[in-house]
Amino acid sequence: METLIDNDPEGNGVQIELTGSWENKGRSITAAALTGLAGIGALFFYAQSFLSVLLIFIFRNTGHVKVTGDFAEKINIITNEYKTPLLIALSLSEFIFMLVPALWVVKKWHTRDVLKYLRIRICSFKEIIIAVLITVSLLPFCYYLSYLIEQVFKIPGFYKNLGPQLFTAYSGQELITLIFVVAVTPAICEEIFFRGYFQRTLERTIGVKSFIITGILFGLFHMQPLSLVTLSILGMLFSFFYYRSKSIFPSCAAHFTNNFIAIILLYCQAKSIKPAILPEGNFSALWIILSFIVSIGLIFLYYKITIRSRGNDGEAINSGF
Amino acid sequence: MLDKSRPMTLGDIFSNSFVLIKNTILRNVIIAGVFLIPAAIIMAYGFEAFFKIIGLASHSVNKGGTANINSKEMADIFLGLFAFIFTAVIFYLALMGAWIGILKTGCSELEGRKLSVGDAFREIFSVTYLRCLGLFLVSLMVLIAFYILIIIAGMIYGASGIFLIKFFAVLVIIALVLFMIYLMFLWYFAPVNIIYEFQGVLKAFSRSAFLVKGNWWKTFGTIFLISIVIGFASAIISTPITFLFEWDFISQFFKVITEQPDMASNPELMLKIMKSFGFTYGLIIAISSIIQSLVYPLFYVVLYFNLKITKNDFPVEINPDNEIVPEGPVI
Repeated sequence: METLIDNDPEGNGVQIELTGSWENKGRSITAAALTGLAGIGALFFYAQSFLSVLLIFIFRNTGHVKVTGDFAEKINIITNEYKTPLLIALSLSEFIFMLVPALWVVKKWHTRDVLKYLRIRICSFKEIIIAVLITVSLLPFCYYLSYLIEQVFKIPGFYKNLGPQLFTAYSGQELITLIFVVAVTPAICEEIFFRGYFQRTLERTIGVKSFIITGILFGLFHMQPLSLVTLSILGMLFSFFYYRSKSIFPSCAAHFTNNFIAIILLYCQAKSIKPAILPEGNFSALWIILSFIVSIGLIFLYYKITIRSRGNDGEAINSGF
Repeated sequence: MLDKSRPMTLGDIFSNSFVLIKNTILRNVIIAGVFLIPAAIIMAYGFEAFFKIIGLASHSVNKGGTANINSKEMADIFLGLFAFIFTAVIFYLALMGAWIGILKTGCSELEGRKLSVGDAFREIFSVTYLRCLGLFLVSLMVLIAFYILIIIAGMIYGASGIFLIKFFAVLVIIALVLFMIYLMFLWYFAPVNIIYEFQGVLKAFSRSAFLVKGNWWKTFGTIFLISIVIGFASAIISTPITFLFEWDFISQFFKVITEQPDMASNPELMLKIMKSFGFTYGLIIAISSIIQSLVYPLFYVVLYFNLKITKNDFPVEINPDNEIVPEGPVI
């Protein structure tokens, strides 16, 4: 039986006994990460689609709503009509088809010390706060990047509004529901799957490169070509937090912050309040440059305050593909 | 080298396949690139010609019905259709060549031997290619025979007014489809039998049937699962590529659905959309094939070796150190 030595946020060595079937059989660790990613990804993707169709069928409104108008209007009506089943499907599938299989895979393939392996452990409050600040400071830059991409491709308005329309709250109750579905759920499920399982496993063989690969795959996984660049940047940022802090909480907090702000901004937009950060608002060059510089400065600060945990990154044992 | 002492579990299959992909990726990229990039460009031009003629035909029909198509336009339509079929066949032949090289590289790697790119090319340009082509033609003939039988059963269903005959016709169609699926998986490993065991076409079919018999459901389930996983992995990579390459078409399409929903009544716009579709669509299919060629054949090789292990079909353990011993000079 092999033992993985990982550092906790205080820099103390934590021993994880690798008792899982994948480890016992001496199989490739990178293959475990890739199999887990592709397998759980496929399960999540197909099951979510199936669940959405099933719930739409169950919740369908029997002919009360007239779908009229041009294509964009029809899409709007259909999205509004099926908002509830779609959101339920989204939330349920993240928990059932992403979180549960990820936990099962860790326990079955790798170790019984699931929490230790996933790095579900308390870190300093300072690290969480700085991670949140970095995310907030980087948002104007990311929004500007999205805006530029939309301008280059001349994306029509109705297409841009497809996602936002589903995630726009028009009342306080709807806002709370959306915060749970769009901010809390991915901050738990996607972080445990991407950072906790995939990046953690990949880190054991390729070390620091794991956070770049995880970030790019996080972007690709969402299957939103227009948001690929920004999602990959954010993915790399969350992975960087996870890699440096040796705890899942900073990346969870950052992910929650990003999605929470998006929901709040859409809510503000629906209530006709226009914050300057919105893509439709006027982007000031100074604002974007400042956002970028402050983010870089904070990232450097994050790097400095997490420098004490550089002894062993949990990648010394079990190296090799 | 592969552990041949016990059959693999699903986890072993994935692990061994990923290791195999990693160990052969550079050589396989060269093999796939040499064969598929030129063929992909040729096919993309074929697709462009095809979609252009679809646009032209629809343009002419919308303007004044089929009678309005003159002989020059008719010749263009047939020429476009020919270009499409011809270039698609070229791409398929190139794909077959790439797969033979990749499968051979994978088989050798599992035997503990490192096959060079040159040796892989020698394998492709040998009798193996002709045998694989023969295998494809035989499979195609079987498939056509099944389709003919299904069509006949369908015609009987349509022509007969008696319930019992209609009922039996439906049963026959279902039975034929199920039998076709059964045969498809039974003969699934025929190509690798030609490449790895140097079998002839008919022997390759029987060898594949020997390996799969008794393991049919397991083989079916594993291939189904692997196809889903690879399909998903391929989809997340090809989605942004498709979006980028097809942007010209997508933007035209957006324009139509937002500004002019009655596309059929605007033949000029239809022509423009069709023209913007062909070349890049051909390229996307090609790129997707290249990505899948680097992954799928190696899973296929591992599955094949697993079946051989399950059937205890490795009577002689090949020792890579002793297998090829060049004779020294006789003094």
